[in-house]
Amino acid sequence: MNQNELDEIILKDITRRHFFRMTSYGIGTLALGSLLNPAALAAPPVATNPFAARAPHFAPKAKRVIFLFMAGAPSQLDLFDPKPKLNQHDREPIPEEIIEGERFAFIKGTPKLLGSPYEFKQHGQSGHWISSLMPHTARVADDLAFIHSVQTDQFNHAPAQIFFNTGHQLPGRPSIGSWLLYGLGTESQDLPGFVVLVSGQNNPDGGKACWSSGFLPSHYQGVEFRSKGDPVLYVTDPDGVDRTSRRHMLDALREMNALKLSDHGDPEIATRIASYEMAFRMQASVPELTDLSDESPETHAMYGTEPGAVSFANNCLLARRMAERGCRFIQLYHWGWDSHGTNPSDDIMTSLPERCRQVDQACAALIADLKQRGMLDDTLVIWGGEFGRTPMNEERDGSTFLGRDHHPRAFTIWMAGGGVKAGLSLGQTDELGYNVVEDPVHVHDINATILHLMGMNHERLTYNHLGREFRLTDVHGQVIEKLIG
Amino acid sequence: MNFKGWNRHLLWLVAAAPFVSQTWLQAAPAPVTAALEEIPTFEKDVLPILKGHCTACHNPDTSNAFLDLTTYETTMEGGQADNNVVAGDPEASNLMRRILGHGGKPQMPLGFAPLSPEKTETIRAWIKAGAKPTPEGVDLRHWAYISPQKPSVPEGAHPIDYFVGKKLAEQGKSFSPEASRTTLIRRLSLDLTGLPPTPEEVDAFLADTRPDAYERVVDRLLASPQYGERLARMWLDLARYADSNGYEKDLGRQNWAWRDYVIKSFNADKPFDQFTTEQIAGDLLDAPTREQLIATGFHRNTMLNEEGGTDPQEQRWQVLVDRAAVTGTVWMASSTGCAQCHDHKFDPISQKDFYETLAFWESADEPLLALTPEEVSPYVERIKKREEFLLSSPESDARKAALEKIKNEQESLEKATTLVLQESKERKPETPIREGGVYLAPGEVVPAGVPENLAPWQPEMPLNRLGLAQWLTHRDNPLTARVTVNRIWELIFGLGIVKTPGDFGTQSEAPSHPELLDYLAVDFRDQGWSLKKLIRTIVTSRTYRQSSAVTDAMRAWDPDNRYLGRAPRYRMEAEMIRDNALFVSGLLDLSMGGPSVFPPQPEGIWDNPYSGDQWITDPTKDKNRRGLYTFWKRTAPYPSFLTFDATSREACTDVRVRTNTPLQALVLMNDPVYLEAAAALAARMDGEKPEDRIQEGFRLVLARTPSKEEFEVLKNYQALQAKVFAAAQREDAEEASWRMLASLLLNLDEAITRE
Repeated sequence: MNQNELDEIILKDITRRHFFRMTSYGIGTLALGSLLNPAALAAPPVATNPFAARAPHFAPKAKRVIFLFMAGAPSQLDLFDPKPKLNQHDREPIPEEIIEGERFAFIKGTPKLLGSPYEFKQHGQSGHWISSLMPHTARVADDLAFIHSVQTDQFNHAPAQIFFNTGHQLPGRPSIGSWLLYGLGTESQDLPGFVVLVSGQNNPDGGKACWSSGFLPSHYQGVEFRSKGDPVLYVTDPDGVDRTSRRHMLDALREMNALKLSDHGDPEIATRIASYEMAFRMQASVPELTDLSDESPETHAMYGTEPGAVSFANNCLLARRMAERGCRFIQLYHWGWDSHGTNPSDDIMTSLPERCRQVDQACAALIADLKQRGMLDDTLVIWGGEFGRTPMNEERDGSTFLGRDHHPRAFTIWMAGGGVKAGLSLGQTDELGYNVVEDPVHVHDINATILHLMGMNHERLTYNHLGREFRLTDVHGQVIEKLIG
Repeated sequence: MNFKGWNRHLLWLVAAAPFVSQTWLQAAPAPVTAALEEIPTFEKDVLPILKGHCTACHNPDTSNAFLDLTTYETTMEGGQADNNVVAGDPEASNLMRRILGHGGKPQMPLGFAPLSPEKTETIRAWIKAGAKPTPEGVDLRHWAYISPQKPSVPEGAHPIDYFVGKKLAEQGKSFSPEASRTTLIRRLSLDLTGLPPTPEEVDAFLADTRPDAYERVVDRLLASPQYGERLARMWLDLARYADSNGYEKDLGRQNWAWRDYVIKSFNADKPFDQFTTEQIAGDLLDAPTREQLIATGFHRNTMLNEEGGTDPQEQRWQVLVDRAAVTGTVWMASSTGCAQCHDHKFDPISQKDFYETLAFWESADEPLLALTPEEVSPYVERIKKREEFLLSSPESDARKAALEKIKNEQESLEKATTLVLQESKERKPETPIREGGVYLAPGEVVPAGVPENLAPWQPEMPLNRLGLAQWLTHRDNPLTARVTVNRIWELIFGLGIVKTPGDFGTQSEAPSHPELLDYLAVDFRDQGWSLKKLIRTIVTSRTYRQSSAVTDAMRAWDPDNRYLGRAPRYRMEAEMIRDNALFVSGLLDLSMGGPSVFPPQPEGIWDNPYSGDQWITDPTKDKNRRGLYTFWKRTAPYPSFLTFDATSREACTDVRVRTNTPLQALVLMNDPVYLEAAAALAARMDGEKPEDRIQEGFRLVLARTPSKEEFEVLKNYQALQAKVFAAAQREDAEEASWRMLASLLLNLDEAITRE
């Protein structure tokens, strides 16, 4: 190759389009099926497939998890934990003894209490209190178990999100999805077992550390389905390489690797062959999965999907499709709940209702849809953020917009399906919603319970790293027995 | 150390173990008589197992079932059951029965995985031999905490082959035959430089009939500048080097001058003790050089949290903990981090020890050091060349963006800085112990210090970071040399003599070849801490030069290749895989050092809400620099590296796992980097006849010539693919099929494997 050719290749803003320099050629449609001998395609025996489904420690209640992570921390006091007393003392200074020695992210001095501007009503047989911001969720109230007494150790977004997901506030530990994949493998061999879907204006603050595999082997990390370009990185073949050509190439590759295997004997070569075959299947199953066009108009209407958009609703529908196809841990992040009240885009009057509109209908649809398909019983659905919000108005720099600061002491999440007692209301906060007064539930307890529902003992699911056995719950965590139906 | 004890013990394990597969037993009859003499001792062999699995419940405080397994006396005394240990009769001993789950009661440890067969057998053998207390005169300390002594090696024997061969012989085994010369030169090139040999280098080696032809290749590779880059990858992982601060905002930072310091130091074969001292305390040396100041950037690689509302005290605390813990892992292979909250459960590191080692970092300020014009001039030159190249290329949006970026790079280079440490004038090296590891709970203030039960603090050592470095590299320190030798071994053999390079504690698995580890460690220290000499010793051994081919019988006998009866075969590291594809296709740019680079990556990888930083792909040759120069953003590392098991560098990584997944297949098939390499490789495969082109491509990628079968497969594939493309009426069907063939070559298992 001469220097000019080299430079041309170097300079070219290479994309897959340029692989053959010439584009937009349709390739003759040799029928794929006729080329493939299924027997020849069968993957060779593989000693250790890290994704193979494995037996849990004991009989599980749930086979998979859909975790709807509300990044930014929704205000429990305006959604699910009504406090009449707070409304009664609206804009009065909070009693000093409550906040003595407390540290806040942004509040300074003695803040004033802030009643909720939203109306609460009880719903369903369960009588769950739900505010007017979540009318759809209210309709499925009886399927949900609310925990009003959740506590965390962290009061900034990134560390708190990482803490919720990994049991530690610093990046570098495995996330709950990775632990489950490590412990249980996955039922889907053509799709990643731990999938992450992100919507909202931004990524979660904790970033990829939230779905990191930490010190576990990296194939256990969450695979982010991307909204732009390939849903899974590099899943699409270059223009001009259709399925037939890819199959030819992989056939020859397999023959070459098989020759090496017979010559050399290293079983890793067999695993490599199997990996390529799985990649080939994934190339077909990912587009099939992400193509929502075969869903009925009723289903689309139920979720409120928007074709082609990056939306929480679309992701909820995708989550159900992933659950159907055997993914083990499906995590949705929706960013934008950080209602400080420094301006209308982060207050509780304009921003919070908008955020609720973005998620409410789809959450309820997901629950109803799973239920009507008979999948809710063995699918655990979790809804919640990294911490709660203060009963006090933040008033940062004298802001006149209403908002609440970060509050790790007490917040609300809900869970549904997967062995959770439907209709349960667990835990209580004091009359101002500041502290937990009954059945405190720590984030470690929630993680222990998620593992338990999946059939794993959180004290036994361990991994040795740098000389120590690590686990998701560190040295903490109690299974929340009251929550289990 | 007590080699005899170790050898004996390991030997015994293998000999007596009933769990070893039948095939193995048939293959290698065990020397049973030897086994009977080898008796585990309570303190060194049995107690660590009890502490690791039993004493959480069976200790004097909780004493479940009134049983305390923390001492010899109480273990013999037993609890509820008075037959806890029946000397000479394992089957009658309750301890044994419960561990095995015999007798209808639940198996211990309750709720946890049963003991491994090795551990079970150790306890059984101890009981069987009379369950005696540890004899007087046995050094009870864990092997890693006793200074290594150099075992003797017969005249003329290669030390590695002597120790490995001895062990193999004990098993009735021997070395595998030597690998072919093409395999050897590819293996050497990959191991020592991270790059494959060129076909010319292969030919020269094959034609070189001098007796020292092999050693000449070794010396050439050790002298190549790419050697330093190869070793640097390991060190950057340990030092958690990245180009961004981490956490929520994850803004960019400049510390590449430190990264270049590492590469230069390896290339200059800087003695490892000096390398250590410069990085821990370069600023405290007499009249430190610029290089020695830059070296202190090692511990500036800690993350920095800039999220609103973060408590600066907490941030500072996390940095100090990280520095103390990483120092423990990197030089002492000790998980000191446990002692942040409480005394180490297993190893001799008290909570006080941890805070003493942390105190060294309390008095270190964190300034920026401005780089001098001389220090940045080579990179200024390079930017100019890239600019000229861009200016001469046709106008496009990409060109415009790149030119803009180059302007920014020029400006930032003019005021380039690097991160260093500087001893504070106000603060002293002392720190309050934090109860339970919580930074808001300061307790008693302790001065800086070290765990002196490992090695004494010498009177001449100043009580600051310089003293710490002197202590780490003192000849009495039992860990630093062993730990370093083991890391290099792991880098080359894929698995350390101690399996856990970051943990030599009492709970780690014993070294596979303890005498060899100690020989190499003492030799390393005595020959002047030269890594190049150490590596030369390793790669000139017969052990290293074996074939890696493996039979089923060999795998059944030694699945993890702990006995080294064959050479290891393993997948390359993430950066090497990319470097190799670029190298064999003629695209790799071997320029060294300077600011990190931005090769093509998919859109949307960098989409941090809190930083305006943008990934602007560099269309110049800089996009084809070696992988270790790729901009490393902690929250969004280069995606294909992550897929091949690189880490985010948020924390110290001592071993990269090696996985084998479909996502890796997708990278090699479809990542534009590899497509571009395939296109260039196809163009590089010269030859009039298709046969020649196939031969050429094969040699470029794998250094060897294809077998007849391999050749046929490739030839048939190319012909078929050309036909398919032609049937689809592609005008470039022929050339396109060659690109597909080149892509296939880059996807071969062997192409990404060191064998």
